[in-house]
Amino acid sequence: MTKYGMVIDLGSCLGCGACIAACDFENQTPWEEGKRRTHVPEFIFGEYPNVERLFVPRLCMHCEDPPCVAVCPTGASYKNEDGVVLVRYDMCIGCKYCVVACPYNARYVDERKHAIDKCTFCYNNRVSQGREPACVESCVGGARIFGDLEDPNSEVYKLIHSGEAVPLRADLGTHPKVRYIFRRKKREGD
Amino acid sequence: MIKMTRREFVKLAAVTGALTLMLGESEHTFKTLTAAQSKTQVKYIPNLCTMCANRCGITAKVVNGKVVKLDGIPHHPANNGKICARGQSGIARLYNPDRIKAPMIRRDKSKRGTWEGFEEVNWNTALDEAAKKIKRYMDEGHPEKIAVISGWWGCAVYKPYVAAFMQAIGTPNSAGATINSCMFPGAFGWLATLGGANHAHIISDLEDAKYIIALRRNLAGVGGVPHSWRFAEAKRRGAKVVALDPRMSETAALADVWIPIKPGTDLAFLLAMGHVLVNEKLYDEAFLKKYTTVPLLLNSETGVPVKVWDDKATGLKKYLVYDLLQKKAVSHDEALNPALLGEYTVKLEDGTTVKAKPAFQVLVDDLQQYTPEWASKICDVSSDLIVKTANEFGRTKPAVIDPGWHDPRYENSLQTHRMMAILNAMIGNIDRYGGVSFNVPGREVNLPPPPQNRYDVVWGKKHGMLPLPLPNYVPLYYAMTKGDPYPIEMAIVIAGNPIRTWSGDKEWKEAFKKLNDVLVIDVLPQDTTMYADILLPDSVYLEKDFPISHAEMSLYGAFETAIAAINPVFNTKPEIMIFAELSKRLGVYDKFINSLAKMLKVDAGKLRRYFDSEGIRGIRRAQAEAYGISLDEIEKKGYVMFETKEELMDTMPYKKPLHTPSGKVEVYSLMLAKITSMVGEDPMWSPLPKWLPPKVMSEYEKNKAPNVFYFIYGKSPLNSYTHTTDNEMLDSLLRPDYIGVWINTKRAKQLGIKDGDKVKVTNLKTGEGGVTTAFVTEAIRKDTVFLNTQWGIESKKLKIAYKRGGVALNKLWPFQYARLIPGMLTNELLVKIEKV
Repeated sequence: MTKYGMVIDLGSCLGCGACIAACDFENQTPWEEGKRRTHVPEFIFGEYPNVERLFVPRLCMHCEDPPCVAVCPTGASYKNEDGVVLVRYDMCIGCKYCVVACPYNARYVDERKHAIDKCTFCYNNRVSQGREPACVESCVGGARIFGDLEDPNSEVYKLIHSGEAVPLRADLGTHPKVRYIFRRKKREGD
Repeated sequence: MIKMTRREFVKLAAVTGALTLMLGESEHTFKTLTAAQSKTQVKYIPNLCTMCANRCGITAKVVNGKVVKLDGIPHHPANNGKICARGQSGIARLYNPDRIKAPMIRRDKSKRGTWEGFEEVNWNTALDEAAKKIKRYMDEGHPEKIAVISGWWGCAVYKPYVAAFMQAIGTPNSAGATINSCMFPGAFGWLATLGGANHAHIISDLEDAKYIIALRRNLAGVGGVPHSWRFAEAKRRGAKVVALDPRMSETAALADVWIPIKPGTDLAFLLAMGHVLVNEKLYDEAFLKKYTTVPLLLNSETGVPVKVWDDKATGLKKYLVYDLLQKKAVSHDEALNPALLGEYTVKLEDGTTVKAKPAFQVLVDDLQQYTPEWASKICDVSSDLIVKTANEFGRTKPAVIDPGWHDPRYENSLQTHRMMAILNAMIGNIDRYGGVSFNVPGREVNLPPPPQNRYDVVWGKKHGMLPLPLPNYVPLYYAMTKGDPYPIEMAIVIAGNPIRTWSGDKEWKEAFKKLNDVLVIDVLPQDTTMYADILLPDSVYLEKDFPISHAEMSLYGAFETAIAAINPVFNTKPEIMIFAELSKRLGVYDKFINSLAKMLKVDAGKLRRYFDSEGIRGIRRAQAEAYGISLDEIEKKGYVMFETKEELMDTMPYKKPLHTPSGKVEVYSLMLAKITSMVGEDPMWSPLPKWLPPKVMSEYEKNKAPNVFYFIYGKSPLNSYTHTTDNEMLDSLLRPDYIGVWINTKRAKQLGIKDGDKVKVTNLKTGEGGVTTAFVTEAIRKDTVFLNTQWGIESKKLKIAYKRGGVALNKLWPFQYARLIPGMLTNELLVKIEKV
């Protein structure tokens, strides 16, 4: 069994936006309308000079217990056998229950497809052909690491099982398969 | 009804390379897809990204004749399979409806600076008319009245082709940003010390470093993929990163230590680091003794070298050092244990004696005044932090100060970069793993003397400025407007945008209006393009072949090439073909081919034969034959390696001399000593580095007011000047901090400015500037504001960029320049911020 997941190392994210553009072209998202499958919001906190500037790549968390799948009335939203949360576009009626149910704000309406759309981990177009998702392959800082969470030899497995990579909002109980490494950074500037 | 599982379907889709847009598993979708598959043709074609000067290896995915995706070439020596947002967005440049779609001519010169009066013509007419204009100057015997102006494109990519065309038409005159508003003012410091310019010849081996200091550069954010991915790799391998930057750049954000240093004072910080290194003996004594010029004896009274002479056999400079074993002054190469410290009485050939000190002793003496406490007051950084940084730098192995790239910012840029190079040399990290190293061009630095009749050389003789290897654009303004030192009447602009990127917005507009003829070759209707009489549209890199070049942004030896992914989308031509066709019309095609053959080191006869029959691919064929590489392999892979990092490292100065006058690391610079002997002493070009305060420091104290700030600037990760402008994808990724002016929260509050407010940014002295939004943040010093470059576009034909507005930096930058190396002093100004 394969269970795909991703670890995002915030200490390596350069905030360059390569992943966003790579995803948009690869997956032909309606980016012109601002609808994208991945985003990299920037956070600046603290008071000068004790400031942190952080880039936090966001995408579908591919939850093990995905609320979007639970609320879908037609079965269009589903989790496939490799643990990837996908949408059967031709079964989607556009009710947006899933958009509302998703606590990670990962879904949008694609008017051209007349369906809800979201990150697929590039499952059909790349992963099934042995390639990494477009965002991972392009990531300049190498911050996005993709692999099989069930394979003890995979980097993602090691990072998660060492406790280094943790979910965003674990309290929501959806068991995300996208995890984050937050490194505490030293600030010695005066 | 076909029954198949999702798995099987996916496999089928994979095998046949199906369109991935509408994947689902219903019968209906499946039918649609199989129908599409039968007609779908997918190709993967290697190319070189030219969205910035780093030129990463890319693969274009072409589906039914349309480029749909760009990916990095796996294991490419420059980018290691990665490309950035700019690189991805090459597709949006390719299909940009704002592109110049056909040749255009405008006969009314008074309409320059507008888009009025252009008429579309066919290529023959355009090339005939362009040739006619050029021919007039050639027939008059004054081809030097033509200046070829280019941006980084001509510098980094098309140099041999532009140069061959210039030689064919007979003009020595070119101009670009390099000397004045790009890397040279800082790079000269590296050149003087290590015999190579930063980024062009010298690159830091980041991934093997354990301690990295980054200054004057946003290495992580806009280093270019070849530098950024290695920066991130170094961090993952546990390197500690220290970033000096008044603003929290992407690099500072990722660094372990952010040092928000006062603008323009990095030199004081580095000098104090030097102070700590020498006093705590944290230098590599063996390296300094053998491979650097610090044992060179300086006359104790005059401070000049006791004796320097030319060695005819090697062409290198020789000089006296004091040998502690032989107890006498000898040539450095004959010394068994050259002294670094002390004072010695030296007997000269004529029998006289002088007292002399090794340069290192003089440096140590000089550095005593630059205490961490002294620097602390100047830099606004605690002295403890300076001491700590110096200690860590001296004790962590390997450590490196990244060489940086762009730096025409202050008069002290030269010595700042000198000191960066010197600190690297002090710990002996030159051409070592985790240190600063030379790329392939850096191992054979070739900077021929400038042509004696080039406008800036002639002007320099008249106005007391030294000739530089590359053209200085300051005199171009005088040549274009006043005929000083001689008139320049025609400009051929090749992918350059002086109106928007060179210092002095008004000056260049005036100069371009005065010219008799302006020919522009470009992809997009830029601000400079508005000044054209003849407009020849260039093809985008994805539409054209490129010959073979070096993968320069790497520490490997590799050739690379680019294959056209598709035919031109519009009625455009690659500029190499434009040069060839113009040369033919001008009757100088032979000269063009011969010059090109010489520069590319290929056989001229073969080059001509192949080029005539195959176009640009023919150049590649001639190169492949001459360089002994497989044409088939390079066309398939996009690159071929010929030297590994292992083979390149540990070479200079150990096995081969450096390209400095002495062949050694010139901590004491013989080049600057010569300049000093010619023009007199000055801290700006002192042979051993000295503190030179930025002028803007005292200006700031004099003009202190709530709305007056130091000004710094940079590039957002989405920007590489004209090549990334007006790009729909990059525009969609725009964030407020990429276009707005960064201003500290407390200062903004004082001025009643809230985040997102419209504010006017003006040069305090000239009153010039523009309007943008305020990016109110804690991530910048209180006395400093920051802006990103390449905004304030005036060409309305750039529909996406124009509507964004923003401040054009060259409206803030006055037409001012430094002595010696005429950098445009782009941070030597104060700005006023007002709420609109």
